[in-house]
Amino acid sequence: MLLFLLIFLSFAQVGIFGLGGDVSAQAFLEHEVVTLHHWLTPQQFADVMAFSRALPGGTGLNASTLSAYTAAHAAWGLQGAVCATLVGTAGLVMPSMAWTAALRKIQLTESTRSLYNCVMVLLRPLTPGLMAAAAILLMKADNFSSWETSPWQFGVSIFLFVATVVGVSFYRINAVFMVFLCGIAGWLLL
Amino acid sequence: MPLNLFSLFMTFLKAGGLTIGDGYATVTPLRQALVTQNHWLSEEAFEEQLSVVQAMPGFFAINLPVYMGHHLMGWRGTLGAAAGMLTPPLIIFIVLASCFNTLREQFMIDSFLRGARPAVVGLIVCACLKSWRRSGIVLSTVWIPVGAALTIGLLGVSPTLIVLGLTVAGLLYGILVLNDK
Repeated sequence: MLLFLLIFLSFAQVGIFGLGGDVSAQAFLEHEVVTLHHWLTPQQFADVMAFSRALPGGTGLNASTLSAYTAAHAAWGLQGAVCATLVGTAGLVMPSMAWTAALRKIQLTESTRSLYNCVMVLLRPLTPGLMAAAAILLMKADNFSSWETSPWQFGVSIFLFVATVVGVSFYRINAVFMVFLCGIAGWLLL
Repeated sequence: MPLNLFSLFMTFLKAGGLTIGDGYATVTPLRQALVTQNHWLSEEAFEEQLSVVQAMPGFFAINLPVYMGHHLMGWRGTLGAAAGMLTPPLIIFIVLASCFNTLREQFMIDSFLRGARPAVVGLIVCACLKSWRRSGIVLSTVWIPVGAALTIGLLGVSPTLIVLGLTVAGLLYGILVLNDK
């Protein structure tokens, strides 16, 4: 039962504090799931991201479903794993409901507005930092291979990584198409 | 369609839960369904709701049905909309999870993913660059994103602690400044 509570609290934390949109909230999820509890490897997390491009739901929801499933599957089998995914989803939905209730009620007065501005001056620049952290947490030998094990795969990985950043940021190539192209390159080269 | 729990569920199921892509990909079909087809919301109201949802912490695909459902029908609406939007991905990934590791090791999929993994990490960097340009970072605040990225990414510090720390610092500064005046 402790595991269910752990899953619930982990995902609730993401729902409460995960500010700055999907990508930056992903840093919170990666920290909980990959760094802290080891429910998923960085490689599995990157694979969920790749699969999520072709499935509904988005990376955040899909990665939490998968991590809750794998966390509970070893101990409780299929039924426990399905329960864990439901607990995890509840952990994500309940903070969202709390925020909804709070945002409907709160009205900013003069003094709270200036306090709010003081906090946002510090939190707004945090968003790109969280996104960078989400990328750094996945830059592991798992996903890129390494110079020692396979120089060829490492080189190709770095090339595909740079090609994606340049292609999507500066040449406005469609993101899904870019992932698909890199997958084809994987077929041919790796 | 008249607005009731079942029609709300079906609308979010069709327009939200079955749309391929991340949460943001559901905006266009949902606008089509809620504003154009059913007239449950005006265009302005939809945009207004959307801007609040985008500012909410957490994942967009979850915040959207919760917040908009609440706007349309109260807490029952939240339940209906969220159930509609979250059920399909949940079922798909429970099924996928049971064969995830065998699937990944298939020869064709394995070599495809070897190429796709660096690309999805690259996409995060793209989002980061875009948000860096938008957020108006100046020399006095550049330590916040750089410090956060390094401590979370390399030292494994919880991002929750960083958000809490900055919030407390902002509040303290605000209270001290307000008291001085």
